[in-house]
Amino acid sequence: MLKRTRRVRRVIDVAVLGAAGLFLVHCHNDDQGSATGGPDREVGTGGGGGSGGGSCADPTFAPVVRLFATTCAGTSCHSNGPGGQFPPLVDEPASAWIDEKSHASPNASLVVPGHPEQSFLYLKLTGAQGPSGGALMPLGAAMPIAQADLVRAWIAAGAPSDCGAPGGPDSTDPNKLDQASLFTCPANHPPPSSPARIRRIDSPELTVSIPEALNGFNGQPGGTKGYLNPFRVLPPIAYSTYSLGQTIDTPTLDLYFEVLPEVARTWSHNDPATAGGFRVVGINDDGKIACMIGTGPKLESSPTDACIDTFLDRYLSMGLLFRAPTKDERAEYRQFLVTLLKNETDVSNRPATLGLFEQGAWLTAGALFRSEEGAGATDATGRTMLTADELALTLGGMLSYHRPGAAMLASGAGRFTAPEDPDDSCHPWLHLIAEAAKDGSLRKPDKIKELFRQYGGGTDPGGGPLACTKGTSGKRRDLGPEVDNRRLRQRGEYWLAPRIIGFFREWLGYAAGDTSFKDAPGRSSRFDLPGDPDRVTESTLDPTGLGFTRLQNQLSSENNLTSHLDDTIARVVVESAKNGKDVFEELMTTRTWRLPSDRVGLGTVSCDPAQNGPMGANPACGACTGPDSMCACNTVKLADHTKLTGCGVRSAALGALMARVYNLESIPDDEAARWVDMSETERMGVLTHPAWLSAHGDNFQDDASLVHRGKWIRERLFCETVPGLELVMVQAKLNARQGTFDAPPDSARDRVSQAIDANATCHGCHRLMNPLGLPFEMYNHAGFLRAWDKLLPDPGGKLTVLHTPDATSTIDNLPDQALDGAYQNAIDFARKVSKSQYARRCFIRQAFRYFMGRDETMADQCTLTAMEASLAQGSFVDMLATLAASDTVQYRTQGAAQ
Amino acid sequence: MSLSRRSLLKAVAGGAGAFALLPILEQITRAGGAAPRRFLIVVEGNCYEPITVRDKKTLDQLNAHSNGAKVDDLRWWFQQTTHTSPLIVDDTQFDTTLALPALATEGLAKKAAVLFGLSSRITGGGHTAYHGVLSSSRTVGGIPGGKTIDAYLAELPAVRGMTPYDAVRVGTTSTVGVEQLAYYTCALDKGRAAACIVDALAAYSLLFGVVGSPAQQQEFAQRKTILDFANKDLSRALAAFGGSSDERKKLESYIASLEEVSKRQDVIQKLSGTLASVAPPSPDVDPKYATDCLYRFETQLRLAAASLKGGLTNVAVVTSGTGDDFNFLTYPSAPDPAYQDTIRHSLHHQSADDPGSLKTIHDVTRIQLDAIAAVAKDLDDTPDKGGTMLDNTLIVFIGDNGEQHHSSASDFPVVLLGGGGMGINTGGRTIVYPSVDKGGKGHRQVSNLWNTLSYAAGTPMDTFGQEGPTRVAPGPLAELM
Repeated sequence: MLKRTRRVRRVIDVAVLGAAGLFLVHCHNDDQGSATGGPDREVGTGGGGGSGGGSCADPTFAPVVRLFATTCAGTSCHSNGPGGQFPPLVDEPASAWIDEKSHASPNASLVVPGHPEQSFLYLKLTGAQGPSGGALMPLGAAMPIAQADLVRAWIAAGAPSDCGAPGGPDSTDPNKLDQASLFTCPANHPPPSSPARIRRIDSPELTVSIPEALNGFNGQPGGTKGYLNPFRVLPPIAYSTYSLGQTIDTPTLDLYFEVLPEVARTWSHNDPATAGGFRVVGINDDGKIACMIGTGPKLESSPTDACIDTFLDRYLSMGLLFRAPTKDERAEYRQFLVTLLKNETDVSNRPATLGLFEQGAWLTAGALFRSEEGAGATDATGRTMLTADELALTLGGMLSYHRPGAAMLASGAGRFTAPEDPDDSCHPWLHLIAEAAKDGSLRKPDKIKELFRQYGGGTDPGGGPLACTKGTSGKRRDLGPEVDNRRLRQRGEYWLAPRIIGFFREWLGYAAGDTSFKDAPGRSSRFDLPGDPDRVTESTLDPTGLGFTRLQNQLSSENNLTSHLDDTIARVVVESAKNGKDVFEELMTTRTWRLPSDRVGLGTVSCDPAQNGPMGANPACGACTGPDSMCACNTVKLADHTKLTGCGVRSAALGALMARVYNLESIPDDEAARWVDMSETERMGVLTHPAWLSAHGDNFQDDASLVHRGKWIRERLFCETVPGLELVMVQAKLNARQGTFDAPPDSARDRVSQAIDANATCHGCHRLMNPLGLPFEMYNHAGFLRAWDKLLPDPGGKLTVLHTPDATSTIDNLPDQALDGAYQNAIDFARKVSKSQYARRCFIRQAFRYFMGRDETMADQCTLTAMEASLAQGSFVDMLATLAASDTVQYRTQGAAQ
Repeated sequence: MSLSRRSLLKAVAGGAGAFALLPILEQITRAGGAAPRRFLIVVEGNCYEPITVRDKKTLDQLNAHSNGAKVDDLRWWFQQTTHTSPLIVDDTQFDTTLALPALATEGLAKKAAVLFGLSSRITGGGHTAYHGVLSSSRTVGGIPGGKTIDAYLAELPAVRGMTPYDAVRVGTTSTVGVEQLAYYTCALDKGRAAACIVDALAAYSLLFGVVGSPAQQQEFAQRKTILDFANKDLSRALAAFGGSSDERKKLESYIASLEEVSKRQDVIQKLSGTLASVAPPSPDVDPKYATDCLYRFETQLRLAAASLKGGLTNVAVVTSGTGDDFNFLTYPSAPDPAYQDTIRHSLHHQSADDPGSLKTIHDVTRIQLDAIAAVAKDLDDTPDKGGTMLDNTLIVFIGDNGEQHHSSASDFPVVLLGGGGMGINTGGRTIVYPSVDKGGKGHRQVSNLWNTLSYAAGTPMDTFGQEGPTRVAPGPLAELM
């Protein structure tokens, strides 16, 4: 019986995929319902824009074209692309629709000019297509969409066909852009810029302003309201950095009020002397605001104007706005503060007074919205330049959740939130960026490159003295108290700035691997061999699963899957820059991985586990020290059924079996041994990492993980759009498992094949995903290497004969035709895709989207080309510096199309 | 102070609260409007099983319409039934069910109904359909596929009335104090999940802080000061803003939020007398709050019901272990001590072979329905225009994935309570709709239930959700109208 052994549970950010494999029965647009442009699209400006709808004789009908371009977009549905299985409404001009026939009703013309009631296109939009006419379109619509009337009017008017190609530059899907053109910089290209905009604060930006949040719950993130603030950017935007439409609605504001008192304690309760308290480092070292805060003798019951001004300026620049306020803005804050001080009945209430001031301040536009408006000079083309303050905040936002010049927070216990630059914990966050903004050097490309190299990433092995902190000089001070100290020791020495590692997490989507539910995660691995006495059954504890579960939830002293891949990626990025290697190729092929040890807490003193007391106490182990002082005789059981025992801290023993998801055991608990060169026949690159595999895997070993993995590859590695899965009908599920759970006769690929291959409708979309996911069938749903993928009957009729995993695939429809061909498995695929310029460019496009917070457009050609050139020299961080120094970042166009 | 579950339930009920409510009810009457239309939707994570709410008479009917095999001890039976028009069982013997005896003891039998056979395969089933159950759409990757019924109802002026909150969404998860919000079940629109407050203390502070502890009351009062400042700041910022209309909307939306919250402050202040009389005890007065998810469920249920009684809202949702959370739930107060530390996922997996696990699952459903019945009784004891508050409140209890742990979304059992004043005919009946696989055109879907709610809301709609071509029939469940 599985017992609940912990109280603290993870915060689940991303829901698991359905328990059963789910399939598309038709195609549709992910952004359905956004025929006039989805809420997640924010496009660039300048050259290549396009007016939309071409030159319709009657502009009234331009939206007809746009409707199909936006609602039916996608390579697999109504397009001429390799996956297009239905009339190509997107890539052909409207004039061509007249000659098209329905695929569902081959005798019906899509468009009969002047006769909407005879036009199958219109009938499909109104539900009048008849029983053999397939589904109402757009797929999933519960009723005819409002634009059906417009289509009717267009056809009734004779279907004027001079509306241009609907799928042209007006499409809101960036994946429709021609990638080769995107990476060409024409000589006469207009100077680029980005839309002027304001950005609402996002969740981690607020969190890092709250010392209590950083101190966490028993040392773990998630323990305070600060971590749970409502500014999380919710799907379906492409990346969390996208800002269009992100505002503060009433439910968000309601929930923000729950966090606000905690937010507002940062300066008002600044008291390092209090045990367990915290302070804002350096803001009062000179004693100049001792007249306003604290409990010292200089505290003024009626602060002077000078005192108020000094406090206010310091607070606004280092605690709230991180820029110079406007004159009116400053006056407003000042008046509010003065009013509150006047109403203060006793100076002992000063923390409450300032707390209320902080609460009000944290509700203002300046605190909650960051400007990228471009309030600087206007150039000859009408673009406006970001001011120095705006640029500093923008560049800081590309690197970190912390704002340049923000005061550092420290707890009374002496733990600091260390800076990204582990060599410097004496200054405010990103202070070199703030200083460069002040001295005017921030616009120089070389300076930007220098700053990005400083703050973008590096190594922090620890061990050196720290002049400005009270803490020890441990490893990975960029993580500071945000990670349980016990686990810092296990982290790799390579680090990346928060936004940079954030990009990799979001691009690869692997953080979901920590939260995806896996039923029997070790199923079909070599730890799950029929006949093995340790093999688990459905009703008993799954030892392989236990190790996996601990990797997901940080239940032991080890780090989780996300941390492992974080460290592995950080190493690739840092080492590639150092050695001039292609970072994309390295990402796709790296075999040097950071792994967990199953020896943490095992100890070296031999003991007998039978002697453990009810709370884990063991006579042979004596007394332990530390946060969890009860000693126990811990045991690690190996695949050969041998056991290792040793005295250790009770909770630390939970690390056992953790390496099994990597198909390994016996990883020693020392620094060097945690970097493991994986077998080249088993793992290669980030796409074979259990974090990615489980994040994009289903719930059961014989479910349709291959669909989800293939979808990710098509979309995020080849920048093509595949319709979403939300309209999958349950009838299109995989066939029910025949037999018992322990004896499924069909493999996952069998079950998927049975459900898809004979169904042309399903196949139309799934052919874009399934062949790309099949190579990863060498791994199960949780990322374990498979030892078998189904059981076959032996002569006696028992299901015990193992079927060798089949990860072969034939791919014939990738945009990089050089990749088309037969593959043996994921290793084969990773090796070949690592050399693909097409995939590499898609990687750059994904980075552009994340760090710009918007989709790329043809106006970004030259910037993308420059980024590619930088990346070719090996450094991902230099590529970002190139982006940061470009006009695309530094110039804005007012009122640009959103 | 330590209060028992029962005493807390009684604290919600009772004459004093009912008496104190009269002023606001009179206001509604004086305003000349129709009676309020309230909705309380309770969503259980990872299903409750059909057998728990099936009475003996219904079993007889099921056996009479089975495909030959006896239904008897089956926990779900959609694969067995063959009828093609609804079976209607009058005078349901709730005292013969596993989980609904409280309806009989509380005298609520005639105001209740049980529905079987509603499918929602568009949601996908599985362990959980997330927002799917309330939206009749598919959630993929955590992204809701459509607006949930609570959000739809909350937008209707006929439902919202003058209440300060369009909806109150609360719930419980496996832990306390770790999470405040959960986004698994409700959605304001496609792709826009709505938060449920799963920290009962936070919910209490938000909803009843105005009449809470002195510190909470001070916090509420001070909110006006900072809201005034923020409103002034945003007005200045907007006046100075020169950006595009899209960017301007971000500020305008925020200003609108500030204004709404500011106005709400005034309304809540005016309601404070009523709220003081209906506010349940603060959740943390019972030590079980920190350890017992069933207690937390009851706590949140009471908060939701009190929000309805106090006029804070007319739409409330209470979730219990929805989304992935079912996998982590344990039941420290489960009647059988041997299963108090067993997580729900294991209980389900063990239930085929282990009677104790099965009984614990069913005990949990009974405890939840006891709590729902207690809230319903309280509402039924409270006079309201045209009858009682229960008559003007429709309570819906439904699971978030279907009929079983690994559900095919084929049969979502539903318990309905109240709503008589809103045109809902419960009548103490059990209605078994034809099954999704064999019922043909007589089958009905969960989306039909949500259509029914729209009728009860006075704003009928016949095609709620994203059923599209899989919709069996538009419109409400005629048997309830």
